Amino acid sequence: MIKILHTADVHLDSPLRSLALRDPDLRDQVHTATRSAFTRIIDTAIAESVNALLIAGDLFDGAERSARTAAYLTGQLDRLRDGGIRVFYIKGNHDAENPLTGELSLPNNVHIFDGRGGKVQLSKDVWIHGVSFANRHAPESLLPKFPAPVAGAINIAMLHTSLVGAAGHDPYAPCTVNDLVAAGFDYWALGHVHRRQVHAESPWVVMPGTPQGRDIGEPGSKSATLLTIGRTIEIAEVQTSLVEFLNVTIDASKAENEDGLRDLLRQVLRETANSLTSDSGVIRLSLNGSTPRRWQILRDQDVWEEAASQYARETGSLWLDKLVFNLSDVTETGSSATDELAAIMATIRQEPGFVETCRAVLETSLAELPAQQRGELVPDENAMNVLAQRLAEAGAQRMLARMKGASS
Amino acid sequence: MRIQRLSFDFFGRFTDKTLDFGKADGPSDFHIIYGPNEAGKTTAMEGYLRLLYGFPLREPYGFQHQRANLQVSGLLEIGGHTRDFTRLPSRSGNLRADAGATLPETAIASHLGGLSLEDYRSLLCLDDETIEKGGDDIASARGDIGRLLFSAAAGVADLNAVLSQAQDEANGLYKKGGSKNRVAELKRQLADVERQIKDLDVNANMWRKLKEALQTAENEEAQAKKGRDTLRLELAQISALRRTRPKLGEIDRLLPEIEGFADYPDKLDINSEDLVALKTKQVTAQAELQRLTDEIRDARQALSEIALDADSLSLAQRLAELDELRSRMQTATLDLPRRRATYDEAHADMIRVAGELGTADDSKAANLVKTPAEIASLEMLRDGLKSVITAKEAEEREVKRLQGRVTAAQEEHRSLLDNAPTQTGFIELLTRFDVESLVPAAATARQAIASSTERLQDALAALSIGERAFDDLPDCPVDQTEADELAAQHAGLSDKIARADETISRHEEDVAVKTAQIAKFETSIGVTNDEDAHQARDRRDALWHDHRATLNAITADAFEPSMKLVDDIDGARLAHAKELGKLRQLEQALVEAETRLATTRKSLEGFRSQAGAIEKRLEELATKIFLPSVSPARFKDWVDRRSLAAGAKRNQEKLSQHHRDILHQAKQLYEALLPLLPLESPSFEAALAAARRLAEKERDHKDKAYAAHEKKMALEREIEDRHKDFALLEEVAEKAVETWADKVQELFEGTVSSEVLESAIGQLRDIREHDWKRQQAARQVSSMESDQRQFRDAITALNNEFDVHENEPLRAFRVLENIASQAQTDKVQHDDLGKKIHENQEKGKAIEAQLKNIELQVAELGALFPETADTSTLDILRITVAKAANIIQMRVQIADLEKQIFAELSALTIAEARDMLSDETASTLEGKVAALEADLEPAETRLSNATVARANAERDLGAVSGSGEIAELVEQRTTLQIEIEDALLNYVERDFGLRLAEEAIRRYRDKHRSGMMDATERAFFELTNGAYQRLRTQPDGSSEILLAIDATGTAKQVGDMSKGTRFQLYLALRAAAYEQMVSQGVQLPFFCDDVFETFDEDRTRAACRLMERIGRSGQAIYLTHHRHVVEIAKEVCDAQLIIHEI
Repeated sequence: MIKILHTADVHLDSPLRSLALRDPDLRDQVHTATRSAFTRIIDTAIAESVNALLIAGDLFDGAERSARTAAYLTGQLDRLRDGGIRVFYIKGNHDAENPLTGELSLPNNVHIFDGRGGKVQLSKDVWIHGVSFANRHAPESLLPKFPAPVAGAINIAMLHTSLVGAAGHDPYAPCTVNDLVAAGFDYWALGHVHRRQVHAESPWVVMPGTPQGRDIGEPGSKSATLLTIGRTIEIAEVQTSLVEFLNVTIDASKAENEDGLRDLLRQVLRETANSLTSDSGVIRLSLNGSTPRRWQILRDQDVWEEAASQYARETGSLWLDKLVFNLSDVTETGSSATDELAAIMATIRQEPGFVETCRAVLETSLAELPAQQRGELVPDENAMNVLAQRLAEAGAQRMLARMKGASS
Repeated sequence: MRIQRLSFDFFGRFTDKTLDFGKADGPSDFHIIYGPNEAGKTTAMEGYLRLLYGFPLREPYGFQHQRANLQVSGLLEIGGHTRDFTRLPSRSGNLRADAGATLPETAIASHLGGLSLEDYRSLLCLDDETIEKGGDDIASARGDIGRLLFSAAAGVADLNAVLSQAQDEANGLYKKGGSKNRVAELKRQLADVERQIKDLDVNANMWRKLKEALQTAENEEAQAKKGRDTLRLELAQISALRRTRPKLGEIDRLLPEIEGFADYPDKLDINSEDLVALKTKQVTAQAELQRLTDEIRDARQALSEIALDADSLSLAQRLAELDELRSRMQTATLDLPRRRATYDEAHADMIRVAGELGTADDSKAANLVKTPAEIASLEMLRDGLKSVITAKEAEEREVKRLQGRVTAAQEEHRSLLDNAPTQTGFIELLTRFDVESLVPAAATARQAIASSTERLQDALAALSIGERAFDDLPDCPVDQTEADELAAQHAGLSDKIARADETISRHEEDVAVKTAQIAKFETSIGVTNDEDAHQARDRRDALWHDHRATLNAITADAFEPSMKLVDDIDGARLAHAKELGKLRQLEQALVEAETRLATTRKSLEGFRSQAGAIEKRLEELATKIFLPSVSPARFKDWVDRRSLAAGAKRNQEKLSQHHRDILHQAKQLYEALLPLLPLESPSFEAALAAARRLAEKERDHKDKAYAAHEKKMALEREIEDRHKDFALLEEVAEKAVETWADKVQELFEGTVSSEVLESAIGQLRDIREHDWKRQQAARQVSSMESDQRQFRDAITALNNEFDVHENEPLRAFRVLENIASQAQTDKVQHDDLGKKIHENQEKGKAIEAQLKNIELQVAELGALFPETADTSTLDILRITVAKAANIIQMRVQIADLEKQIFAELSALTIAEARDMLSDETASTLEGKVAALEADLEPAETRLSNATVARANAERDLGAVSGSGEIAELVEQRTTLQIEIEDALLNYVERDFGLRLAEEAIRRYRDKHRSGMMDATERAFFELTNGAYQRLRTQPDGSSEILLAIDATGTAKQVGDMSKGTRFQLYLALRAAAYEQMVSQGVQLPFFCDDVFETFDEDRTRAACRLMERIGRSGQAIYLTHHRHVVEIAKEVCDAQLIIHEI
């Protein structure tokens, strides 16, 4: 019986992105999480005595180029060599753009497929095929480069691909699942997309997903895929993520008062903590629904954020990324002075002069950010306007909350 | 909203207390609640707030009733309806309707214009504190006055703080170019992390180079080390030979020295120094032993010289027993003469006092000493005597004074009787007629009759028709009912006639129309009418008849045209059959219309004749009462009016009848009064007034005379009583004098006279005092003399016993004391010597043992040496031991040197070593060492350089471990970047919020401020009676200051005003805010709790007017304990002011 562990998109030493990491306790627990996840894969490989580890591209991150990353990787691969475990690695788009890849001198148990493609015999009946990215872009399908499957053997193919891709994103080695199914291989070990998906079962077409999510855009627990090859190929998930990102919504209208809301927060966080698969969780909480206490809550949003953060810490495994307020009011607009002020503010927000001022202030302020970060935040003119509008509305709500709140 | 009633069922000091404000029906709804201090005015205001907002958890008004029992209720007018509310202190559902049903909080809250409790308190429930606090917010904030004015009105009191806090927070996050904000701080941290990454990180290429460099450095180090180690080995060997050579020489020198002492011991446990110490110890012990022996001998000698005497030893005890007596003896020696003198003085004093009491005889002085009881009884008697005499004298004076008053009273009474005025009889007259009830009754009667007569005149005047007028009520041939009926019938008939006229003209019109239509049809048809057709047919039939009879051509010719004519007519008629049908209908309708017209005309005739009959009847009736001809309706009116006049006449007659008796009596009274009065035909009222005055005068004099008589009689009775009292007192006084004299005689048997004693009882006390002193002195003298005797006897006995020749007892006592003391000293010395001898004997024994021990040690040591060595005494033994020690040391030295040589040269025997050194001299070795050392130095340098290079290469490579340091730093950098972004967006959000808020507030203010400012200005002008003409704001930096302009045009800040003026400004602000709220449709009760206290009278007046004005648009309630405020309010308020007292 042959066992193979399949992973991809490790993005070694790529940092986690969340405000929750301000907390030094969390930093201590989850620092270098991509490494920890990779270490877990190596540990699993050794514990399960697998025959091979497949890394289907993007072992490195495009931006992280420290030699220490390479040193760490070498150390881990040495551990596999000591365990007699072979490693098969194809380069993905991020690997291709990272100079570290070229400087590596990896131990002799590692086989790196090149851009021309090739196959290696793993055991009597098992062959591994693979094609690497030669450059950071691969606009054409890489399928033609695969050597034909070996007749009478189990053929496993490694490919880094965006499949049919998504509108607005560059295609990476595009191909369809049908193309893959039709190619005659028994297991497609894919990489590139960070969310795990099993596209087909006969033959297997498996995208394992990243072993460690890095921000709230990659939520949930992450894993590698373990193949057991007997008469057929069985697959299982091996949980790898040290920390997982979570989006949780709370209906604040269920709470009658502040105490009730606090209880609700605590309860939701406890439940979330109990259902956590990874060791730790970074949670983004949204307060939705309508409540008569909306103004008070908005007025005290810093306090609420601190409280939620505190309750999360109390669970011992959760950290708050952000508390998002999506509350609506239950009462009709009244005729008090603050209601009148609210109406005036709403009018001013629509006035071209104010919109122009907002844009100018926003641009000046964002000039404090590095160009790249700014580009990610506001890629174009429209995004800038939308952001300015959103901030103006939030700012108005915040001030109104204080004015209303000041008298209660 | 308006309060109609407030009930404090259980609240503060109130139980079932109700304030009823009633309905607002006057022009101004202004109330004053007046009550003294502590009456509960503030409690009332607070109770009202409880009704609106509920009870707080900590209720300061729960002092009389427990919090759980508190209850406030009220009847509130809301939106034109009244509703009952009750407020309980329970946690929930505490607002109740009158039937006890729970009401939602919004039942009241939704009518409060969004005011919270605190807002209501600071805006509409003003007391000294809230008016100042709300006002100070405006003055001290120094913020935008408009904004604050707006704040005060809107109830967002702390808006300024909200804005400035938000601004601070935004600045704390980010400020362009600033260095103390969150973003700047994060950027500093970021720069720090980036610098660390730069310092620590290496890329893969550098890493490979580092590994190569390390390899090279390791190789170099290994080679350098090898070369150096070879040189070092050689140098070490040569150096060893160099060092060994002199050691071998030393061994050769030592060996002869120890020859011949082979049997001396190899080891000694002592050295000669120890033996010196032992010797010293021996000598010291011997000397000590000698000293002890000498001391024992001396002590024995001294002991034999001391003799002890038992009697002398016991003397001390006996003297101690006598000491008490001795000290008394000593005191007595000094005191005795003084006591004797005291005795003599007391005695002399007694004699002197006895003399004062009139007793010259010294021997009788002692008889004057009396017991305190006796003295007290004398004193009591004397005091009794004195008071009786005083009372008697007082009574005597009183009798004299009273006698004078009696005489005066008698004279006054007489004079009143003599000067009595003449009796007129008015009193009886007025009483007889019971004037007090008669006069008003008569006035009422006259008034009633006069007004009923007037009414009758009016009713009669109303009867006039045309020329005809009536002086008296005319007769009427018909009653009201009949007149009504006639008028109604006539009106009905007139109505019918009018309607018939109308119908007739309609029918006439109908007939005319139809006739015209028929004519038109006939013309248009142009057909022979029925009549003609009938005639043609008759003629034809006749001609046919003729023709048939003859049947010839002539008849036929005659018949033919007529037959043709009929045929033509029939033909034409057939052609116009439809029109003919219509014509027939019209003709039928015309006949009907004509019939209706005729019928109606007939009815009209009937109506007219009926109406005529009624009119005729009326004319007859009118004639009977000489009225001009009138319409039935007017006649009916006249009959009605006549009936009213008849009623008035009946009324007038009834009143005249009713009051007849009263008026008759009044007349009789008048007639009775007239002859008695000095007036010429006065009116009834004047006559009565004069009579009353005169009667009053008479009655007055009578009263005076009676009073004088009463007084006289009372005084006469009193003086009689006084005389009796005086006689009684005289008797008592005599008896008291007698008793006193008897008592004096009894006690002193004539020694002292009662007259003297009366004023000298104090001397009795003095003499008693002196006697007591004298006796005390005598007792002391005798006691001292006895003490002296006893002491002297005891001393004499001791003198004899101890052979002392001293007669003065105190001096003899001191001699005896010396004897006792000497005996004690001897005893102590004796005991000490015995003890010392014993101790020295013990010590001597211990020293002897020590000496023996030393001798034993010397013998033991001597046994260690061979017999050839002399160890006989301690001194000789010491020399031998020193020698042995020297030999042992040399043996050790040789063994040591050999060991060193073996070690250095790796030789096994000393012979082998000698062999190795046989070819070398000191100089050859020296030369070899110098050469090797010269070679070693560069080799060492090379190695140390190589090591440094290797260590550096190692360190550099070690830094590129697989550690996560850089990854962690990168994570920190990422987090910091996110934080910066977050802080910036947060800042921008707040900044936008602030911009919006400030602009919105500015617009809001612009919209509302002029109204507020104007209203405040008006109210302030009014309150200060024009002392302050205008308000304006003045920019001050970015904010504004509120300035009040006084009549002279001088601008004043709030801080420069007096407390009263400041309060007026604050009150003006509230009044303006109230006005604004009212304009927004919010009307709430406005309370002021004695805030006018600091106002002068004019401004209080203005403030009352302001409250009244507020009451015109809402409900104003002023609470005060100043009566003058109430009076001022009453005076200035045009509208009716409602005052409630509590």
